[in-house]
Amino acid sequence: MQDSPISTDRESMARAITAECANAKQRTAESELDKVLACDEVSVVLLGLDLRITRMAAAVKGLMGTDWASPPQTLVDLSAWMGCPELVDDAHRMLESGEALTRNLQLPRSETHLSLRFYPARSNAGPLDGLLLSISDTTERWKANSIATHLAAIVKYSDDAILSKDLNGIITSWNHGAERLFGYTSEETIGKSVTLLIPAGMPDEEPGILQRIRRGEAIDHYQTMRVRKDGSLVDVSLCVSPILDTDGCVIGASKIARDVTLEKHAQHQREVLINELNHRVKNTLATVQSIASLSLRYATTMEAFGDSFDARLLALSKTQDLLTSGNWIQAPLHDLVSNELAPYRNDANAVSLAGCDVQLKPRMLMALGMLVHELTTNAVKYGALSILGGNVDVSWHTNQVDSASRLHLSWIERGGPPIQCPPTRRGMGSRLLETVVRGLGGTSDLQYAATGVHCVIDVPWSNEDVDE
Amino acid sequence: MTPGVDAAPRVLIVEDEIMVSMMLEDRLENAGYCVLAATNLGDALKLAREELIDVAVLDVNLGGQCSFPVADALRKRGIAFTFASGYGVEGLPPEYRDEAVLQKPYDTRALLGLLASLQA
Repeated sequence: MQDSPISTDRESMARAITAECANAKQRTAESELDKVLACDEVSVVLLGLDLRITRMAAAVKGLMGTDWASPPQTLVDLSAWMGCPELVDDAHRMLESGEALTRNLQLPRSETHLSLRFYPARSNAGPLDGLLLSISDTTERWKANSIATHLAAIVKYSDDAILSKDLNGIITSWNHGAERLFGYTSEETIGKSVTLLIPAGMPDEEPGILQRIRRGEAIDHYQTMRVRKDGSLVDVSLCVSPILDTDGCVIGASKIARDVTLEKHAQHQREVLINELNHRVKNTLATVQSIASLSLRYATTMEAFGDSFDARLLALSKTQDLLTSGNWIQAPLHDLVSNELAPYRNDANAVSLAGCDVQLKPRMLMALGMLVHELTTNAVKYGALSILGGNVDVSWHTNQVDSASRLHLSWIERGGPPIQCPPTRRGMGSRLLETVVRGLGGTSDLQYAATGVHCVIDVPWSNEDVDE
Repeated sequence: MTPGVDAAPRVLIVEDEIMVSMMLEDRLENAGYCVLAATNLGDALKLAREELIDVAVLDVNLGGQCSFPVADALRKRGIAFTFASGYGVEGLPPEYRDEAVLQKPYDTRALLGLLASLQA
């Protein structure tokens, strides 16, 4: 904060008062000085060379209130009351140099800020015969200054880009946030038109904003695009408010720009997810509808329908769990088979799984899941898992034929009740096997051997399928 | 392409969810259709180009691939079809918005009604 205007005022006042003192002395009539010292605007203390207080203006007494036992007699008393013993040193320094000097201080236990300035007092260009201490209350100025400093710091360190422009759109200030967001330094932008930041193809935007600002309107959260120094575009949300002068006239605008790229991206992601969720829910419902419909069609009794429908739905649900743990990208075949057969791996039956690590894409996983479920159900009802001592061996491997990978899976039951003749009625399991394998573009072979069911599946398999 | 008086109408089902395809096959066979089914784009295209077909049901999303090439092949032959989709009509690009769309899961009554009207 500059204090030259005040200093100039003080200088002239001090000169006038010193001159008056001299005159008064000369005239040995101090009544004129008394009048000056009684003025509210004159806040001075006159000191002798020995730093004793010779005169004190009424305004100083007013400033100090009644907060003392006896009036101060010397500068030492005064400086003690002001909580600033350094004032005495200042006075000595001034006496030595003959130069005016200033000290700013805050009164103890008070909000009051003072500016104190010592002036040499001379009688009509004669030798120094005392000091004049001018005291001004700078509390209001100090407060305004500290608020301005505080606000400036907030703007400076804000993460948001904050800039101001005049009514012609010329940039007048530019903070660090703006530097970060747009890539220009303040030296590169101040004095230039704000249209520097506006992408080609939006020529009407800035005039529109300026028009609203001239009318004194603020613009809140205006979503638009801006162009960075490197030419890239950035999604921003703008808040523009008019800047008023002390008469209330609009002289410019302050603009806060927030980078909303991440929000936009998140919003897009959310829309994609909701859409995808809806699609998957609808497809799952269609699958459940199909399971119900097919189970009903192939069931001999309502009870059998209830049991088979429940079991198929649970199998579907377990397969979904596997997919969820694989982020809906893929899941291991081993876990699929293992999950389905887990309830039947006990002392009475042997279940063996053997195969390399094969990851299945969602569609294939769901299809093979249903298939393994049907084979298991059949084994539990009629085959190797229906009696003690029966066992099931499931094995798989992949191989390369030409440039395509294929997956072979074999399901072999042993030790079950002897199969006298293949079932005459085609069940849902064999129908499903046929359809699933055809759907996957492969082949299957289902044999009702005397020792138990043998099922071999051969389907194309790829780890790089772009799947759902 | 018009089937004989006694011949069952031939419907092409393109649906990658195998269970759903099986159900549609069952229901349409029950309703007197002769069903041709494909669960992937390649098979569907082959059937759409070569087989005698009266009407078709196309799942929009075939394991990540769109069934639009099948729609184009059917259009070329003047065969009426309906899309089926979990996304509904909003999931279709503008050039297919005029086609019939069935929302999944299937409403069999609505499906049969729509197939009948498409053949009329």
